Amino acid sequence: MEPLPQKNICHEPTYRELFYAHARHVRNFLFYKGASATEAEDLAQETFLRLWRDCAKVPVEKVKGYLFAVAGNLFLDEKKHGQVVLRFQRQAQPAEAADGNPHFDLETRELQDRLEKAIAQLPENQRIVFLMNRMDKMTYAQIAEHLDLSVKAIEKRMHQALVELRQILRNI
Amino acid sequence: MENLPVNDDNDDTLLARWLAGELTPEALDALRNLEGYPEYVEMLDALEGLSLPDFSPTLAWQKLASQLAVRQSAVGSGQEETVEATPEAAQTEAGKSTPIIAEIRNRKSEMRWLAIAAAVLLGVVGIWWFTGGMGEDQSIATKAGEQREVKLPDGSEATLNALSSLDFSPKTWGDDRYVLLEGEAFFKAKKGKTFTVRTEQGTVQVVGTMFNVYARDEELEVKCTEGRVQVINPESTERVLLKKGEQVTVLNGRMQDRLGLNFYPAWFKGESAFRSAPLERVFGEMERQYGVLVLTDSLGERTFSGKFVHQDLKKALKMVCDPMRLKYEVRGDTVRVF
Repeated sequence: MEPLPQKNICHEPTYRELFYAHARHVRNFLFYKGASATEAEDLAQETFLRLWRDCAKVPVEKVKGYLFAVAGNLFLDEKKHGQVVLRFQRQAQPAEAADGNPHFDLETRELQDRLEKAIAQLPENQRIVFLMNRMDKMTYAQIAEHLDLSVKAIEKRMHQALVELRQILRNI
Repeated sequence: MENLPVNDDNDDTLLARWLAGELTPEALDALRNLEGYPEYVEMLDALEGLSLPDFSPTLAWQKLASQLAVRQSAVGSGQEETVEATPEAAQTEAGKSTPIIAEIRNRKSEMRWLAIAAAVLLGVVGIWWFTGGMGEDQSIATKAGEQREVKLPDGSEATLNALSSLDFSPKTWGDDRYVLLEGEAFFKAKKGKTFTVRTEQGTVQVVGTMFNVYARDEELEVKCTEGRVQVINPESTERVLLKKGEQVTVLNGRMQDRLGLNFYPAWFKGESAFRSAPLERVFGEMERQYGVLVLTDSLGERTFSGKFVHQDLKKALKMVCDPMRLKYEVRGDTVRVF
């Protein structure tokens, strides 16, 4: 598997490719920070408008770091630090819904509600790493590249996120 | 890698390495005996039931593209840039004139004059409609149970399966044969310049050939039925060249091994065929073909080989459920399988 040649971001097809490859992750990142679904989508759009503006200044290999840094700053400008509320979607039908336990639905539902609250209470840097791994299915190396951190730092945050989540869950 | 973690207090990456599947069997055993282990498992299971708000990259791209056009035409006609938040940013934006922007700006204003002239001539009121209709992006989407053949500008063809969408730009087709796909489609690409099918799950490039692209959830599956097809993962870090009769899957962004083609796509001939496909995917396809909701008990890892027809729901259910020893019940738009 050979790597593809890198192109200039000001080249429109390259820009479009980059949008397609990264837009969802940028949107998700903003959502993890506490933006609503609509806000996250708007800010992701603004992030990509900035990328177009800066296309001559950003080398393709630095684009992930650029996008996440810009998205993070835009979010800071927009939002005052407040309580983070996350609203996930529930899957219509939990996978094991019909295992004969009539309380299963209710229990699952309840645990999901608590988990949603607990995730919102995690420190932001742990929450982002945790969700990028679990939701975006990124490896630690990929997360490290996006956030411009070492893999070790990501692993620590991930570990800490799990430890904290368990503790928060016990008190909810 | 450490071999003997004792508890989660003195190894500060243990749980991270556990999730990544990097622990040795001994370390894994030790972890399973940790006090909090069942809670971690329960927590991660519950998380599986939560998902993110919907996001359509195709729609988002269309929005962004129109935003870019608006900003550029505002700059081009000397209007004040009002969208940017900071004066400094506005300056950079206005001061910039890369060839691409200039080109887009020119094309855009040319377009506008054409549109105005046409509108006056024809007495058409909606200028926006005309600019929208003239060579700007085309977007075709199918509903549940619908399939549609799409003629592309050079005579290439795409057949869209149910609940799929295809976007392309006739204006730039001559330079860049490029479509955006969400869902599933079968393509017959005429010989010519590179023909690119971009999906969120990866990219498919051909010169002239016939191939099927399935791009849903975390999966991209490409079957090459004629000629050669190049498949590229979403991050553009890996690619593979498929020959006639081969297929490849990109799962969660990672390229899987290339395989012999295991089924010639038959969905555009009025049936859906599967070989060792997870039952979940089979019922997912049934939902899309019939516009119904299929409620199932846990299907686990069960797989299905065979096919179902598209014209008769009861018959289709029988074709899948009988060999799998499943029962079904149809109530309006809901099917219960048990």
